[in-house]
Amino acid sequence: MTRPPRPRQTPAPSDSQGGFACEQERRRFARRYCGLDVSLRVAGTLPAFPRQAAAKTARLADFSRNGICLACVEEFYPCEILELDFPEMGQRRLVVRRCRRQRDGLFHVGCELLEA
Amino acid sequence: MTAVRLGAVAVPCAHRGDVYLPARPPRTPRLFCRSGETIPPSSLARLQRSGVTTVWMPASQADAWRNRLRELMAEGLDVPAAILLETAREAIRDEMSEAWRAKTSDALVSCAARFSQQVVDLCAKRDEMAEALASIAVHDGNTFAHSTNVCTYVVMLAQASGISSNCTLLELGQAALLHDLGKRRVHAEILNKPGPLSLAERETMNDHPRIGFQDLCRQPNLTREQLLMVYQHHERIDGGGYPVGLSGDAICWTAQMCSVVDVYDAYTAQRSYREAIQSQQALAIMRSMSGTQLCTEHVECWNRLVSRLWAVAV
Repeated sequence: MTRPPRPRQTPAPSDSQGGFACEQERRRFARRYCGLDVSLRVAGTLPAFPRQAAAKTARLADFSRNGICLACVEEFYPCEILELDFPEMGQRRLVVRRCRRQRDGLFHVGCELLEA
Repeated sequence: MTAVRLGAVAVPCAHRGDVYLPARPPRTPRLFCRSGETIPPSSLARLQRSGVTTVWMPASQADAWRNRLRELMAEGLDVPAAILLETAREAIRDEMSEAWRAKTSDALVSCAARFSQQVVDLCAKRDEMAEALASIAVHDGNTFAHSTNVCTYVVMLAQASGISSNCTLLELGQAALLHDLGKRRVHAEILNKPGPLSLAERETMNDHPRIGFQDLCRQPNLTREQLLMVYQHHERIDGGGYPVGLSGDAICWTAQMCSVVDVYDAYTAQRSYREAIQSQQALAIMRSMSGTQLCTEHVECWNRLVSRLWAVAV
């Protein structure tokens, strides 16, 4: 099976702080930018990084068919599992792939959607 | 043929194989000493003076010899600290290489723990080890040599900073040996590229702390501080590092410690893209980075430690 070609970069909103948008595109499918507030919960922690399962809020910075970028005040580590409540779409599980601190102090957390 | 360290060959060992001197192609390596024969100290010293650091041994003989070295290390060897360290390195080289190629990191973690134990034991003989600092660095351009250097340096810096807990030193050494684990997923062409890296290559290279963390984060025996050393050793206190861009105290102290000795070893080693620089020059550059990119206290401590030894060596 051949891999679909990399998407053309969708222009980021003008108030974008850089982050993943400036870097080499890693997503297989095109990003759609939005600014939706979502509620998330840590569903899988790492042995050395225990966390409480309390709900947190984050902003959905962009999404594509296989990944999303969250803007949040807290740093997340690669391989942590998050559970996200999408309005109208229900719950989806994500695995954290990368995290980058932005100039405004927020962390942009790149996550891959896990199969439902 | 396998390259082995000259210092380790000096250790009396009945299982040592034939030793060959390196030669530039098209010449073939020349037999220096047959297995079982004792190498006269004067011949060894002459080779060291002429700058030879690596010799060759038939691969089949090298395996048996390294196994015996591991046993000798466990029994306790009465040789100078620098030779002991070279022997410890040589004893784990093939094991580490195999573990490095493996898909999982389990073997690498246990191998790192054993080497770290040997380094901490050696550093317990503080004065002897400190005097040997100038000669312990091995620079053969690969990640194994760099990792063992950083492991030794981290333990020495931690001791000089006042950490005396054996357990903490062991953990630091183990994590330092694993700090560049993510590089095993970076293509050798990028790692050894002689010229500047393209943007895409730079991004691949800069991803190695994250990949190393991902490979190790499910290991139940590694602590948070150890994992953060792997993940954050390229973070800089002004926020200009990677992979996250953390600043100041948000960077774990273990990673701050590792970044100081990592930078020192990177400067004093010959790389594919630049020549090695002298220890004093490296320290001067690090002092200019102190407070902005590197932790001031750790740079000062390392500066004092290396300068003292450099003065002794001169």
